[in-house]
Amino acid sequence: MFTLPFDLLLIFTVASPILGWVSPKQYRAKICGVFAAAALVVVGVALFGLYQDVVANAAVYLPSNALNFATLRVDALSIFMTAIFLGLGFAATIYSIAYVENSGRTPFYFTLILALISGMVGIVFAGDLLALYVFWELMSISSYALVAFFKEEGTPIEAGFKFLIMSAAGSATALFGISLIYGLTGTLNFEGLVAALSGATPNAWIYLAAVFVFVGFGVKTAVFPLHTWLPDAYSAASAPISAILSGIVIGPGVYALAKVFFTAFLPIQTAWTLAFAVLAVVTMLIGNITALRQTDLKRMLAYSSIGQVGYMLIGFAAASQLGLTGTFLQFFNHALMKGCAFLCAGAIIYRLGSRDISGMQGVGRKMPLTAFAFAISVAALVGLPPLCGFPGELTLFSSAVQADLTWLGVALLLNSVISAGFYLRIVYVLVQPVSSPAVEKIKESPLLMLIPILALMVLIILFGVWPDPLVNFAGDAANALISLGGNP
Amino acid sequence: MLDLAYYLIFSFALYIVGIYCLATKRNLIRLLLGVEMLVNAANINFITFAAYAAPGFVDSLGHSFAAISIGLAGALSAVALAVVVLLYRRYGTLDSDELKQLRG
Amino acid sequence: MDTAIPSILLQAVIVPLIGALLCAFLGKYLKRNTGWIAAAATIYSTALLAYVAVQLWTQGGQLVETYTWGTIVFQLDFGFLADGLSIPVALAMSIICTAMTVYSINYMDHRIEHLYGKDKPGTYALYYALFLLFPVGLIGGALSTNTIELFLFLESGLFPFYILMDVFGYKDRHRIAMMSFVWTQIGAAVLLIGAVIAGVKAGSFAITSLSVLSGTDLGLLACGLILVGILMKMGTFGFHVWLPLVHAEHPTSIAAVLATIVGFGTYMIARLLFQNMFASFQLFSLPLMILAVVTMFYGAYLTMGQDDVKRLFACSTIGQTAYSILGLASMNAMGVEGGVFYFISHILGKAILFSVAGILVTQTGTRSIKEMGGLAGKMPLTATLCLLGAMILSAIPPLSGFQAEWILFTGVFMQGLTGTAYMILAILALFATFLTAVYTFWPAIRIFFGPTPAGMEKTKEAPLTMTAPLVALAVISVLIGLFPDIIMHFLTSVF
Repeated sequence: MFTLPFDLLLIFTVASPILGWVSPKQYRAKICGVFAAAALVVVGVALFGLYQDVVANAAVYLPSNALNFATLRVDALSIFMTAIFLGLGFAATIYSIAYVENSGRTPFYFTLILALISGMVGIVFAGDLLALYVFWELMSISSYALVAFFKEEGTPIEAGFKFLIMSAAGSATALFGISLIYGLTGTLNFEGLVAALSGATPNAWIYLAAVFVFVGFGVKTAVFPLHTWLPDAYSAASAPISAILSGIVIGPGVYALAKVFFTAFLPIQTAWTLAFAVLAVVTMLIGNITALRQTDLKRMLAYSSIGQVGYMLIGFAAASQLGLTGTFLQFFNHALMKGCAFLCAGAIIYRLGSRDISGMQGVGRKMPLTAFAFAISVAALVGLPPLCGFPGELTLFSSAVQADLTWLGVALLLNSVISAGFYLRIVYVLVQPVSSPAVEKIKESPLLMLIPILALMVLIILFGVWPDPLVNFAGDAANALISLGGNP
Repeated sequence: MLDLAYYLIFSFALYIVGIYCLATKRNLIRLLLGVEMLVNAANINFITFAAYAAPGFVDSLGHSFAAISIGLAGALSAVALAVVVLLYRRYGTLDSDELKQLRG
Repeated sequence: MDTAIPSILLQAVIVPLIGALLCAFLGKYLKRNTGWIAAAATIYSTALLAYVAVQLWTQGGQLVETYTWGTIVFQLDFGFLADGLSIPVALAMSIICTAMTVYSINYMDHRIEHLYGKDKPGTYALYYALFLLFPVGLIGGALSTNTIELFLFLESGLFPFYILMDVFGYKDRHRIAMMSFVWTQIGAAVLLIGAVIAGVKAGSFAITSLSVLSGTDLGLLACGLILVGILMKMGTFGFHVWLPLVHAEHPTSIAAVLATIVGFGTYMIARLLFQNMFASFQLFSLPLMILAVVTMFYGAYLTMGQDDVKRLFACSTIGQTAYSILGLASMNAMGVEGGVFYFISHILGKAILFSVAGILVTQTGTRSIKEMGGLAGKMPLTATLCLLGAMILSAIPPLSGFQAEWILFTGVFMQGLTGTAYMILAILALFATFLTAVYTFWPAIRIFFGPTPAGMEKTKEAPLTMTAPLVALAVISVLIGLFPDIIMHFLTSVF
């Protein structure tokens, strides 16, 4: 049907509720969780096979011989994004097995995770805006359901609804923008768009379409001022879902923006680079400064995600191969770092039962491994070497300097310092002496939660100490996009 | 055939009405209707552009996109209404201002 | 130059790291004897560095080892460089670490028993595993060839520093540990920002490529950031709040290492700024000199008010480090050589004095100078060591302090000839050195001479594992004092 890894993913998604239905009641959650995790591993293996094809042919089209009519187009960028979707999805699934209780609905939880990942993989595999939009909706609808999934508490549903309305309005706006692009060019295929619009004289319609598309995809990316839903949704969702949402659901937004702006909107590039530069600075400032005054651990992490999105936008402003490398690198690393941080936060909240940072004094002494992983992940988020945040932020910084936007680079450094203020505050609280009886009672997180946390931590260190393969990969991904636009 | 501009004015007007609805209404169901309006504004665009793509010829791409998008909007409504039902059961209201826990 | 041993510099850095892992896994079973593993690792790297030093002496030139870290966006090499500047510093720091490891064996036994009782063997593993990260950080930092690598090695010294303080420190240890951590981290962050700005603009993070920026506007910014970052870590006046507290409340074996970490800033300034960014750095001459003189007086003033024997030596570090800064601020070869030489001499002396304080605390059970007296008869070796340490700090021949200060002030007065302000500062600084003699000898006399108070009659001499390393340090200091060429031969080859 589609390519092998994607076919497998969709089949597994559909199969998982059936499996939940036939499996014995008391093991239902475990069986479905293990099945989802195994499915992601199988897809990962299949993805490697596809990667070989991509390396050989630069891009894989589907239908295989249709250059300008292909619905799916898989290049290095798609593989790059899919790898992290599957990786973090896998970690969150393993973690979920320990996190969610067994109930009749649990199998659907894993189905939704698989559907969410299918949607994201579909977005990055899409060769035209139609396919992209279809999978965008698949991703969005699963994510609404996931945020509101644990309906026993009030806030997830409320947050889910707020998220749903804003995000759905965003999708519709993107759809409106896509319709305008369609009206301008008569095609939706990315290569077709490049061919139709390259050398076109900028007119009001292009700008209008760009604004609609930016607003539409920007909602999911949480660019200022479209970010207000994010802290609610991320902090209300359960820990593994927050990790997925914050770590990788930002990705399709960044990807879609990059894909559209670096193909269809190349003729008006000079206009949007500056806009992105300003938005980058505002977004990172808003995110980091608001995070400074949060008392809720998950909300703080959620706001810091907005700051990280601001970093990623620097690559758009630089609009160069180096800048895009930085953006994708930062996205990849952010998925690892923020995923790890949210999983750790989830483990702490799971044990402690409270999300208030001031009540966490001494947690580090009771849960040393979790706290250590947490410290590593936030240190990486600040951008300290030798952790994986460093090469990403360094690349972005130098791309800004290279594009004569030194002020943007300086803003990045400043924000990194501001963010150190709240990130390290959490670590500070965690390592304080134990002061409350609630903390006295807790113990180290369960093994199944600890495994994904530590695995992510190892990756954070590994990609910091040995960044070359990842930077190379991100560079290939950026090249794939640049060469698609045909305008390096 | 009417001029393209009339259809565009209509779809933009529908879009703006949708946004206005999202910005001012407090009833959860009405908010959903606002989203639906946005989607439909886009759908009208697709149909219009498909018809005007080439003289005497209708582009099937726009029509198929509109059809798929209607289907997706249906799926969206299903999930959204389920959430609304849950909210109504919990709080006994459909007024978004009374869901104050997350303001800010 | 060549050596017969492959990857010798890498080995010198990585062997303590392997030792740390061994200690972490075996500490539970070996208990106090874990220290011997740690000692073996540090002795091995010291021997390697000594061998390199000998080769360097006979062959001249320099030894470079390069390992690739990242190449894609930036040339990030993980290199090690042994030349006339880095080798004496690395060797001295390595020797201090070795001595302190051996000293710890008895001292930490006492400390752990006091804090956690006898049934916590895991604490030995923790202590030695973390302690061995100091030689890794210090030796690696001295040998590193790029700024990011340097930052990394500095960090690897700061994290264990925080945890050790938190777990093994004296009173109010949690709060003080955190405070010092925050201060040094802010310093490190400022340093890193400066290094990143410089590195991106120069296209490479190699220390030598800093020279590309030297004299430019951006170079001035980078130079200023790096300097402020280093000064924060050195606890100069204005940034000194954390230093006396953390210095005093640390276990004394680590306090000696802390003096080394603090003084290491001297080396960084010499290496990064004086050697490679001179055109930018020389603009900071006057402010730096004023800061140094103020810090010297302030340090002396602070020290004289102390009754606590550990706090006493802690405060003196502030003033002593400022001597090195003064030398660097003189902006000529003599001054910088003197500054680095003084740093080496000071850490030898300070290691002795802190360890003596540790001996006094373990043997007498008190830290108050008022409660001590007449101990020279009870513990003659310790008394001798304390006096030798005091002689190093107050620059009395034939110990190393005299030679170092002599060279340092030659440089400072050379700068003094260039302007009245410099001359006044140089003379003021000379006065400050007399205060050193007062604050080091006076307490020594009060502790070891005079009448013995009640309760001190039964005090015994410390065991050999505590005194022997200190004797070795004193001997080295005397050797350097008698033959300053041991150090100067290396230093003059680079400046």
